[in-house]
Amino acid sequence: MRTMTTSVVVVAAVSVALAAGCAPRSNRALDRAHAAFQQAAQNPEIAEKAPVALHEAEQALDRADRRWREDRDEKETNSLAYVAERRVEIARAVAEQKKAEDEARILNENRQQILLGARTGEARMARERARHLEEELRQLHAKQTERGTVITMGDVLFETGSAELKAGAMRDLQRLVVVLRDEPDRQVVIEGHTDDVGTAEHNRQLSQERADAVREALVTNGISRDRIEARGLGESYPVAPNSNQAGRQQNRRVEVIIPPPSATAGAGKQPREQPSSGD
Amino acid sequence: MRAVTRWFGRSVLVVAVAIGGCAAKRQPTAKLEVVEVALREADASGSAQYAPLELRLAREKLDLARRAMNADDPERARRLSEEALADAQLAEAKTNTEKARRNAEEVRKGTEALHEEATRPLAEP
Repeated sequence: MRTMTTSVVVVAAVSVALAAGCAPRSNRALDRAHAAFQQAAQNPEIAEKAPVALHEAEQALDRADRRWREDRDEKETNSLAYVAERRVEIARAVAEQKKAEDEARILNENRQQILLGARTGEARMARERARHLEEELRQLHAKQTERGTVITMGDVLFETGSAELKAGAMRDLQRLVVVLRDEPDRQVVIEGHTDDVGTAEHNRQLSQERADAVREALVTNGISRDRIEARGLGESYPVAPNSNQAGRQQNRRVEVIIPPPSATAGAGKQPREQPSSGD
Repeated sequence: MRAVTRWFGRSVLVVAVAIGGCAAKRQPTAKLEVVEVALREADASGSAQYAPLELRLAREKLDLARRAMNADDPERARRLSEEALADAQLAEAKTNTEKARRNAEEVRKGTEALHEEATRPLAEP
């Protein structure tokens, strides 16, 4: 065993000595091609995405190596090394191409996911919005009537005899704003009502001013003025007898009517049933 | 007719030379045609735009190879045509890479726009 190793070493040494004696030991173009190939071969991306091109580069490099070993022909070896280096570059380009193609494919898949997600997301949002709206309306004690959704704001919005919104009124109105924002296509009618204390004309004027104040508050909160109609109906439409304080308190109110979505802007203006007291 | 005969004669000569003596060396004439095809393909893929340097190198070397052929230097012609082939193929590979990159970029932009649209809140506020 040891003798064999020794003889191999001796043969190798002699070969090297011979080679050194008659021709240059290395070829610069070949060295460069080797370096380029090594670098590419060590890149897992190239090995993975361009195995065929890399193999072709290796074969070209082998050819150059063989030629150099055979007769140290500079011209031939240089040319073969050049070709080998080009093949390495081709392998790099092919790997890059595959990478870009993979990226495009993944992006396209993402795109499909987004489109799919958007559809299910929209449905979910619509459901959530409907649920949210229901909750807000419940908080506002909204009633469904023939005229649409009617929200009665009690006399908590204003001080007696004043058309200026109380500081705390905004909390209730905020809920209304949320509802109206959620239903951007629906009109809204604001009706001011009073009890029968004072002259009818004064009450009508006060109720109009109060309805206007509510409208301004809604407009300030981003609800389009075009959607809102404000009317002062004075004492003409009591919901309770004015003979006692509890009844009068019920009559002092602002009603917000949101006509059903099917009805157009005119729906809120449909004639009300005339009260027996008349005018 | 006389031209055909001459070509035939030359072919016989080339084959004879190939068989006798230098069997290891490949026939340069066939190689030139291969290079021409590779060049046409590279050009058709759009290499003039995406890999002009490699395309020009391939053309120049093919030209030099033809001249070497005419100057009776088949060895040089073979080397040059081998190099020209590698250049032409690199030109095409680079062109394909650049096209794939641009396509990926376009898809990326489109997806980003879509993503933005999908995540934007619906309707007012």
